[in-house]
Amino acid sequence: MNLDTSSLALVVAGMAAVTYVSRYPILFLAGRFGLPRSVMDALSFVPPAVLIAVILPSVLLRDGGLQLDWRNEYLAAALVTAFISWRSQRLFLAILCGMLALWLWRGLLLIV
Amino acid sequence: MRATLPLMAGVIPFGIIFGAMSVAGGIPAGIAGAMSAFVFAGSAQLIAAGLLSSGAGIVVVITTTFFVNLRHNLYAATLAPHVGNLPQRWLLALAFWLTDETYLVVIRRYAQHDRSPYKHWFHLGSALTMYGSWQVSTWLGIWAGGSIPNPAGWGLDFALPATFIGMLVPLIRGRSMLVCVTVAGALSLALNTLPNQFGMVIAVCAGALAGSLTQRLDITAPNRQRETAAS
Repeated sequence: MNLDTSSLALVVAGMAAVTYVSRYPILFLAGRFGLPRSVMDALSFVPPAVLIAVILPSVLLRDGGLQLDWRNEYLAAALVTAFISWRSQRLFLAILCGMLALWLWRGLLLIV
Repeated sequence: MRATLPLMAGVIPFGIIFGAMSVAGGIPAGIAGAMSAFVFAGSAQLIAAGLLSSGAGIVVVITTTFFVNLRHNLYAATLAPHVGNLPQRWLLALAFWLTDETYLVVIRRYAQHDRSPYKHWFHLGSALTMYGSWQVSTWLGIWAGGSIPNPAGWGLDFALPATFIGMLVPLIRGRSMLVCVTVAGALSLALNTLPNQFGMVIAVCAGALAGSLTQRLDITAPNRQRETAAS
């Protein structure tokens, strides 16, 4: 965090503006004109792309470098979360197991 | 209201996570509360909280919010035929409260074939319920985050990636989605050294583009095979 409160207020105002712009104009316009099919198709890929682009760096990058081994407890917990989510399709069960896995793994690393 | 309840249970923990994450990242409580009140966009707020606490600048946060919220256009486009005839003030209000969850509940109601003239009241009720839950849970999170010392030590910093993994896994269906996620994921790691996390914005654009191109190829390829078989 390197912003003061007035800059943060500016961030909130800007976010509110671009968010409203993402909601209202199309609601108003698309009712009359409709959207090109290709644009609709590309937009449907934005959510998964955003999710993975947040997940991977926060799980794999430790201390500024790629950490791809068993000593990375975030990687272990992420794999558990993904597996539970895949098998159960239940969001909160997956998050809960992921958090538990993180704590367990940390405990194990302290012992080893 | 009853149709919105299961999704409320889904949203409240996110609000708490957002509030707690903001406080953990050094964002003042008033700013986090204002964000929930005026922006009201769950994923965008979570990402913004993450970006701000990792030192991103004003432009990056607002640009990212814009990209994260692009999907609202998709919802708006799908809802437009159902609400297009409502008075302007209704559209202005419903647009402000349009979220993933409200969209999911409401589009099902509009799709039912009865000719009830009050479906937009159902829409408004659902939206306001979500808005209320979001405000309350944000402040719960702010309060909880402030009273727990060193939230990262408790693994609270894993709550966001864990939540996103749980949201992402069910989305990955088919080759085009896999291509999208692979491209976006690889670029997000490769471009991580770019200043102010601009790498993420590029990764998302490239991933979405790659995904939709693959989808187009997959749709046209079987047609071509059929044409060759016919000739």
